[in-house]
Amino acid sequence: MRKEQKSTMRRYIALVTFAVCLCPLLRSQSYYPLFQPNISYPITWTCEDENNNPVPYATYYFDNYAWDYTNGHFHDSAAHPWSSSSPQNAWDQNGTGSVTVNLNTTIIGQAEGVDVTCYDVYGNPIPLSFNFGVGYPLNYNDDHGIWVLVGGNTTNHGDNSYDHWMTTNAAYGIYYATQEYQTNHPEQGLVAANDQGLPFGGKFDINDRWDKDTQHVSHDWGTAADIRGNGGANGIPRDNSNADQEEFRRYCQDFQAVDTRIEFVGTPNQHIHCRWGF
Amino acid sequence: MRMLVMFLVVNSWLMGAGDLIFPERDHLIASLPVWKGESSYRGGVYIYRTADPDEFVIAWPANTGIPSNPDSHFVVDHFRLQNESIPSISVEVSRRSGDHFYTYSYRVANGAGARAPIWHWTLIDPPEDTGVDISNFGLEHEGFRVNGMPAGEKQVIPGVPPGVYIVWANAKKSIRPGTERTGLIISSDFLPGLTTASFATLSGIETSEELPIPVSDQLLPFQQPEFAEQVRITIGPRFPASTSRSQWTADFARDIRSLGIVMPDLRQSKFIPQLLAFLDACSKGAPCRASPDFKGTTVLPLESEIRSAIEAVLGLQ
Repeated sequence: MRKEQKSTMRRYIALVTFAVCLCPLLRSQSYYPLFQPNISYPITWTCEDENNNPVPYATYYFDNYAWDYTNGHFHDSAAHPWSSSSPQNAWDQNGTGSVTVNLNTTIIGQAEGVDVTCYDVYGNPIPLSFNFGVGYPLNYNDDHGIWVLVGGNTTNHGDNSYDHWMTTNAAYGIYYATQEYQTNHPEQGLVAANDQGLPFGGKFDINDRWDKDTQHVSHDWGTAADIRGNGGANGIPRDNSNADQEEFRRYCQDFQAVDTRIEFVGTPNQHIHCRWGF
Repeated sequence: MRMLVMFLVVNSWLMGAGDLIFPERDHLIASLPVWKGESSYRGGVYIYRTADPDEFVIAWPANTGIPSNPDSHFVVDHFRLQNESIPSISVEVSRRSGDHFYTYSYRVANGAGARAPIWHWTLIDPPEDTGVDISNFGLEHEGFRVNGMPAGEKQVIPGVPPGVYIVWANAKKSIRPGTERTGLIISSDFLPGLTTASFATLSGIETSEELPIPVSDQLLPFQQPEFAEQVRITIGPRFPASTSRSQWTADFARDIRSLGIVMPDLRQSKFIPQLLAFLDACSKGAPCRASPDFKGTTVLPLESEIRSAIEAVLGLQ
């Protein structure tokens, strides 16, 4: 028995047909292959015998699980969701040696796995395991000498190395926008960069909630960045007109952010929010 | 229905010579319900207009997107457009004999009746025009080009491909009502053509809470220049230096015809038909040595600028 991925080329495409042959594999935390959150992927499973031949008329049972404390989620609760297989068991009724079930990914970016047990016609079980990740391929935004990274230790997401991940386009956008503001405001110095995305994106659950909490939902894809504007250190200054923050917001737009605004105005949480389309 | 008609009438009153029309914008705005307090809220509609055509309301229950959330308090925020200026832009296009660089010298004025200063304006540049020189585009640090990003800024002229911004911005020394800025110069080996310029005043969208995605999605149009800012047509670098003269005249003529779709005044011009006939003849191989006699026929400032650009390219100056 062996397990291999016959098609990983399309792993980032929605509704991909993902084919796996089953062979023994220990549970092992992995983000590869990486499936996007909140999508149903048809996956074809093939159970093979010791000679690598498909086993016809086998019955398959699927048991999905999630690894705790992955992708910066340093919290847990009974409500912690993970992906599911649908249906949870399947029979190769046509004797093709394979079955196709849907992997319905969760909204949470994290390391997951599925234990699959394949029974041949004699009832012999073949226990197997398949490891994968849920999320998006993002890039770490270091401070690059222009930012002070903040916010990572306030939302149970570890430290600032876990909440500053973005897509390439968005990372360039916020970088250039920050540079432009600093060029026009040499008195500013470093800029305090707050939440962006988690390492593999997915739900940015600032309130320890695993469901579709409306707050921070625009940070789920690694396309949004918050810039401190609450009067704290290295924030963009605020006043009655918020002219400086408006200026920064507009530079985000110049560098092709599609959604920019000043949020939580007049509160201790005031910040500039910039979101890119991809 | 009555509100729609009234709105369109008001808009037509406000139109000036050479103004652009944006039917999609006007239709969307006219379709917004009027905000008269929380009783105006309709489920799933988060943006409302007000009696002031430049002021809008964002309204949403806090649990939008997650109905099971018991915290359903109602949030209402107001925002204004950044269109409270009366900009006019003019450009002189020139090329020194024997030089393959074109100089684009802009003058931007803000009308005396404007309610706010212009602190930021843009024109759209082709993404391939990476050699453009913006070192004289205003004072130090006032001008920059958006390098390193894909072409994402839409032109309002139908059929003209998107590009990246060349930006002039100075929040501290903005162009106040009744004043102007000159000496905003760029040079490029790209041949001139029509492009979009947008002018912004300070103010923007400020919210008291974070927006759920369905709400922010409805807000996206209001962050586009044709919704939130004043938009004009000007001339800027447009076609690669390798463009043949016959191709350039054909492309320029095509853009002028497209502009007529969104600038009704252009269709009234006596100059434009002559110009198009001239460009069409040039594009088909006719000699373009003599400048056609346009004297006394121009209506809009843009028309004379188009003429000077054509003369610069064809060596008729």
